[in-house]
Parts: sequence; C-alpha cells; structure tokens
Amino acid sequence: MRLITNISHRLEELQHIVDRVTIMRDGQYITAMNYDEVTMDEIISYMVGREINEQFPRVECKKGKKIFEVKNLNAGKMVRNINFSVFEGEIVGFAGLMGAGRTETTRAIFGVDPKTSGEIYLDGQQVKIHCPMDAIKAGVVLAPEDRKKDGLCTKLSVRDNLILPNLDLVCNKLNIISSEKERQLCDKEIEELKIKTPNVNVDAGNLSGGNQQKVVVGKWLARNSRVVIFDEPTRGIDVGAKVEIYNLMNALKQKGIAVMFVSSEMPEVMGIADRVIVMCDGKITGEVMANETTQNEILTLATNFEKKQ
Amino acid sequence: MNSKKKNPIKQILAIRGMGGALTAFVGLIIIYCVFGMINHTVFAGENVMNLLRSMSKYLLIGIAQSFVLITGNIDLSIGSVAGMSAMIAATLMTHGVNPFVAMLITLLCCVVVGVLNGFLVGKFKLPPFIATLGTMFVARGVAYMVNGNRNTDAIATGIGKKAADAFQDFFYYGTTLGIYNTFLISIVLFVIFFFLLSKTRSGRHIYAIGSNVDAAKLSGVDVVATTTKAYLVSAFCACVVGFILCAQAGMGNMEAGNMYEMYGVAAGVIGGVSPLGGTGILLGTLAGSAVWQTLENGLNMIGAQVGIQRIVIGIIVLVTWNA
Repeated sequence: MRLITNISHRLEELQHIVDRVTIMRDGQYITAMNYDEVTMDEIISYMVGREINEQFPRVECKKGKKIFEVKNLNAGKMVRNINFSVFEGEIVGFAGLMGAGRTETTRAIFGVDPKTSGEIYLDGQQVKIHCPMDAIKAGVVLAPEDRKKDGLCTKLSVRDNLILPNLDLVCNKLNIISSEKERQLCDKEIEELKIKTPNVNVDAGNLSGGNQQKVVVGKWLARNSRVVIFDEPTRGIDVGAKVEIYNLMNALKQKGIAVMFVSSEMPEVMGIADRVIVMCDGKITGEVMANETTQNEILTLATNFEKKQ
Repeated sequence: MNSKKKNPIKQILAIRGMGGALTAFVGLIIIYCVFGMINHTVFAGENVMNLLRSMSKYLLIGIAQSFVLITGNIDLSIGSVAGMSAMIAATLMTHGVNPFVAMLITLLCCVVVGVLNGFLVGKFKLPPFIATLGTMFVARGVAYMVNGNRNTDAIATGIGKKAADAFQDFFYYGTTLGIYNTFLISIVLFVIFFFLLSKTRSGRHIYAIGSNVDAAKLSGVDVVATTTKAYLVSAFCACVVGFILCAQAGMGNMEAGNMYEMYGVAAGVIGGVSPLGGTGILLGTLAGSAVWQTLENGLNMIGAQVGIQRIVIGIIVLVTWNA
C-alpha cells in the first residue's frame, strides 16, 4: 500500500488519477472529499471561494470596423507569410500546437524579433515597428507567454513592474518621476485588476501565479492601446484568476480594442474568442468562427503539416 | 488603501534596498564606536575629516561600480580609467594646458571608454567581464603611453605654482566650511546620482534591465541605451577619481587607481548592492565605502598591519554577502 499525493490545478487530469481531493486556498485548508462525490463545479467554487457561473464568460459585441491588419509578415522559419485582421468588438484566438509559430508571430509584430518582411496597419494607417517601444507608442502591446522569463522583473516590486512601461505617463519633461502620479496609476491598476498583494513594494516574484499574471497584463492597461496581444495568459494560474483574465479581455473587446488571444487550450480558445485563426508550422492553415467549429476541426487544421518531399 | 496615513518610518523601510543600506550603517556605527573606545583619537575632529576625505575616492568608485552592478553587469575598467584620467590630465597640465581645458579633454577620453563599454556589452553582447577586462588593459595602456611610459613631472612645472595649487586645493587639499573639498565633491555627486537612480526614468530602466533584461526589453526599455548610460556614469565617476588622485599627488602616476574596480565592488556589496543585478541603492554604497574606510582607519589607529586590514575587509565582504 502506498499513499500518493498529487498537487495540481489541472482539474481535467484529476478524474484519471485521484480518489480523494483536498482543497486549499490562500494557505488554508478548505475541505476534503471523495472525488466521485463532487462535481467539477463544486471543486472550482471551493478553490475560488465563490461560485463561478461560467467557466468561459462570453460577451457578444457588434463587429465594427477593421482596427488591425498584418500583411505578408515573415520572420525566420516560424513566421511565414502571415496575413490577418482584427475588427472592433472581437477577440481573435490563435490556436495551434506548441511550436506552431504563434508566439514568434506575436514577437515579430511587437518588434522584439526582427521581421524579414511584412506590413502592419493600425486603423488603416501603416505603422513601422522596429522595437517594442515603437509598438507601444503606436498602441500595440503584448502580454508575453512566459511571465518569469519575459513578463516580469521578479526582483523588482509590484509597483516598479506596473510602472515600467508607463514611465512616460508619470514623468515630467525632464524624465523625473512624480511619486504622486506613480502612486495613483499603481493603485488604479491594482484595484481594477484585483491584484492581491500585501503592498506595492513586495517583490513581484513573491505573488501567486495568477496575481503575477495580472501584473503582466495590468501594466498595459494604463495606456490607451488599440491592440492588446495576450500570449497564453492563463497558463499555470487558478480557475478564478483565469475567469478574471477572460473578463478583462471581454472588457477590452467592449471598449473597442482589438484583442489577440494566443492559447493552446482548445476549450478556452473556443469559449472566449469570436474567431479562431489556426497556425501550423509557421503558417496560417485556417480560420474558423468559434461558435461554428469543433475541436476536431481545429486540430485537423493545427496538424496540417506540409508534405515533406 | 490610504498610503498617506502610513507611518513615515515604515515607508522608509519599505524602500527597496534600504535593508542592506541600514544594516551597513548600523555596522558602521558599531565599528566606529569600538575603534573609538580602543583609541580615542579615532573620535578626534581631525581624524574624522581625514576619514571623510579618504572615503571619498571609494564612495565615487563605489557609485561608479554600483550603477553597473545594478544593471547586472560589471565594470572592471574603472580603476584603469581613473589612472588614465590622472595621467592624461597631469600630462596636459605639465605641458601648460589650462586645467579646465585639460579636465575637459580628459573627461572626453573617459567618456569614450564608457561608450565603448556600453556598446561592447549592450550592443555586441560581450560578457561584461570580458568586455571591460579588455578595456581595462587598453585604458591602463593609454595611461602608460600618454607620457611615454613614465610618471609625469609635478603639474606645477607646466601650469605654474598658483594654478597647480588651485587645482590641488579644489580636488584634495582645500576645505570649505571646515570640510575637505574632496568629500564635498563626492557628496554632491552622490546626491545627483542618487536622485538619478531613484527618481528618473533612466534610473528605473537601469534596475529593470538588471532584474530581467528580456522583460525590460518587452516593456519598451532600450537595453543598449540604458547599458551605455550606466557605463557612462561609471566612466564619469572614475574620471573624477582620477582628478582627485592627480591632485593628491600633484602629478600623474601610471599606477594610479590600480585595483579600484574591485574596491568599487566591495563598497557596493558591503552596502547591499547585488552583483546579480536589480537590487541595491546608492545609500548602501555610501554606507559600504564608509564601513570600509572606518575599518582601515581604525585598524591603522590601533596599529594593525596592512595585511591584517585586507584580511578584515575580505571577511567583511564575505559576511555581508551571506547575511
């Protein structure tokens, strides 16, 4: 006889492995029960501490004018001839397998990696993006995939992280920071995103995964951006935080901001995005409407590799 | 959350890097009092003045190194840049060049090294240890060559006794309101750079690239420009140290500033500046250089040999790193 403890927030895998579940939240024991006596929804509500009505809250918006367009984008082997547009009032999902070139595409758009060719249009005007600062100034922002590596300065405080891309908003002409403006901006972000932190001076690396992710996303919300790109924004965070991120994307969509949503989780991409662009091997292999498609159809497109000669 | 009502002491303690700095200050007071009790002349006004003057060079070189350490890099060239600065300034002055012009030319030469360091590390991605090791040798080589592989004559032989005295008084021997100018210069620069690092956009960028260069880049920070700025501050401070060394000796010494780059690291690390980047404040560097000079001064006063002094410094660095 052996006892095996499996610590996980991947609820899907539980059904295949566990007999009993113990639920903890915020460092406290909540409850324990036999797995076959509870439903998934109950587990989620214990984890989050409140009822989650919908795992994928969708907001319907009227599709408006074209905001963002990428034409013939090429960047290395993983970004080949990418063409797509995003309209007002929609979230465009990017589905695909790991290594399909989605992250590379977002990085090329944002100016982190060099482009070999391609044009980017924002509200009908062509914009030149050579470095992230160009993108930010134009109003295109990216919440990157790997928060420890690319998203956060973990050794800096929550405040410093939230302010970093917004220093131009809190500085005067001599680039001197106004503590008052800094505090206001920071408090506003923390409140809007419900970031749970003892105070703003805590190391960003000490927050929980979900709250770290909120900082990664939150630092872009102070700006009047036109396009917000989320790259795997819900990876490794708990269900409650996931729903908060979805709601945030919905709020941006309602404000008329173009939202790009890269995700490898099929259910969330189908549940949150309005339109799904599928990539495989650095190319766009298809485009489907989220409410008309099936997981199978997306998977077929996502594995549509070129025949090797 | 009303942060206006917060206790001011708590707010000061909440400043990042303040912990390391305060620890060093407490250490400083303890060390000073212990030596003072053993030998009362440690407390004498004259000794305090000398102490402040001798720590000034280390404070400046500590600021130089701290800026670069906070970006997560290192600058091994600053000792040589200080030497180069002393030699170029002294050589020009022995040839009768006006001290102001001599200092300006020297500063330009040092700035070139700073920009070079910034580009090698920021743009061409050389490991900072290698890049600045290279410029360290180059700068020292220049220091040797400017006066044809020998130390300069007294600067008074070129610019005359009056101008030489003015130069030496300004940087080393003179006092203002009873305090040595050297200390005043270093404190003024300290305040300027403290402000620059904690209250300006570039300062925040310096911390950001030191904490996570990829994340900083994705937040719109220009990594090359920020790295270069840090190395420029470093070269500037090293240049001023060169002037002080030149003024102290009244001539240019080819070996001036030898090993100073490591003294800079020590001053920073004792004050809580991490060579891993992203953490530490200049107040810590101030405390670190003071701890060090108090130790040297105190050990001197109680008659300890130089060897013992070095061993103690070494142990202090190890202890503060692990604390």
